[in-house]
Amino acid sequence: MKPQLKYAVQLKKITDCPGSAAVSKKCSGFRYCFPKLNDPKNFLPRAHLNPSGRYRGRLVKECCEGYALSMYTSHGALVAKARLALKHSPKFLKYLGDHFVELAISASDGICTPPANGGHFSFFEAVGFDPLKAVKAHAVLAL
Amino acid sequence: MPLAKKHRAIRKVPSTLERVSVSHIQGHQFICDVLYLEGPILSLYRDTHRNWLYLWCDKDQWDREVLLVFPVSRRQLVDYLNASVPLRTLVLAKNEKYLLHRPIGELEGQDLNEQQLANRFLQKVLSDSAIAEYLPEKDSFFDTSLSPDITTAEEFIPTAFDVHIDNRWFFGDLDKFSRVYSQIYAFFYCSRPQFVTNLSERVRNYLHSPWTGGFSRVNLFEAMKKCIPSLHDLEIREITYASPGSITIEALPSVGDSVLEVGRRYLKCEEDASEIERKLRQALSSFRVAKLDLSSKSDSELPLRPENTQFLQKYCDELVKVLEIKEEFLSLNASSPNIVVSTKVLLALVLRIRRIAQLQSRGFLT
Repeated sequence: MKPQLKYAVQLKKITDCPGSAAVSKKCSGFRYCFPKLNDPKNFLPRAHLNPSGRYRGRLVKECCEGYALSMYTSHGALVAKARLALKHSPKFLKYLGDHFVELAISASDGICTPPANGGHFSFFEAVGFDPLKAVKAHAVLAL
Repeated sequence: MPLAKKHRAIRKVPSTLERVSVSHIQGHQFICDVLYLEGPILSLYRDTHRNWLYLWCDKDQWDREVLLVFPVSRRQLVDYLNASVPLRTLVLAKNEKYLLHRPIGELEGQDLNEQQLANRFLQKVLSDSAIAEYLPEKDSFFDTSLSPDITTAEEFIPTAFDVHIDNRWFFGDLDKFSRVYSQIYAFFYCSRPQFVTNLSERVRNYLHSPWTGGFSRVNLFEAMKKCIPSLHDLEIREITYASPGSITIEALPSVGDSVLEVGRRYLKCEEDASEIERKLRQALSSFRVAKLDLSSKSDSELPLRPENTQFLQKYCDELVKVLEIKEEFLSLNASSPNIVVSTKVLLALVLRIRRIAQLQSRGFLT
């Protein structure tokens, strides 16, 4: 059974969101973050951090992905994307965060979309999920 | 050194940045993000003629984001998207460049109030040394893995193609041709997006705007024109005014061909098309929905009986069948709130197709 999601009210307004491919499972998720683990920017979905921002031509608050935490399947995948971004914008870590965090996700913590090429997936948190309690590792990105 | 001479020497040290009015970049229209990782790294904008790139560079001491804003030519943009030149080459090209400081989340192309305008400022880059720390790497080649909004797998390189003309043209003919051709070009471009993959979302927003009269229809076609990146806009390369002559346009040839093709098809089935068009106009009027704003209603919420909805659907399908624009109509329907709005757009499109067809039948376009 799928857990009750934290942003269910907002997700309900978006067609086919999060979609049937998203499932609850036990896995590790890697994500960019800032040096202070309790920085509010670390664990808020984009729609809350920057509601007037845009994703794929739409307001991020109108997008399904806007209410998920952006995750990668490995530290390597996270680093590979950051390296590509830094080639274009050398200070982009000021935006992303120069650290990473590894979360231990259990089946009751939420649901995950299948990883795309490059290892990216969206994690929709369940009600009551506390990311700080799921932290397995927090360190500087090994670029 | 005498003091006065020393001061003159100090004054001669060139400044690398000059604060200028933000009006220099007002009116830029967002097209898409070219590179994106948790947020935009590089975004494509347009003004009336040029492509502009916005490169995320830094955060300033007030936590505003700093972006490098610069225009790029079609050739430069194509070379970058083909991964033949790095972004660094585009940045270092001899173009005007600006550093824009703006609060996070405020985008261009939005109506900003005075307070918002006061919270941003623009600096003209007088020397590349001012942006040395922001310069992309030498191997900053375009990478599709950071580009969810763009596909270069389909046709995206603008190419020159000829529109053949004949007869005696007056200024009014040129005006009519350019207006109607560009509007139909915009419709075809937006209804089968190739390079920018998320255009249907933009069109969806326009179709959910109030539709209460002819003004909205003009707005829709003009809005669709603004969705076209400057890279693919209709640029006139040459006009040979003779009988016969030609207008050489640089844009996407397949989209340009569609405009003239649909005009030719209209001429072949003019009687059928006109009859269906008449039935649809009559139906909208007799169902009393022609002047209603129904943009927020779904099909099931329309003030119509099921047979009325079926009537509109049936004749819309017939019209798109004779004009062979089924795919484009399906794309439009997917973004449209209901069949009444779809019908109104289709009728507005057919009106424009008829105008192109008239130019063809009168021998202006051959």
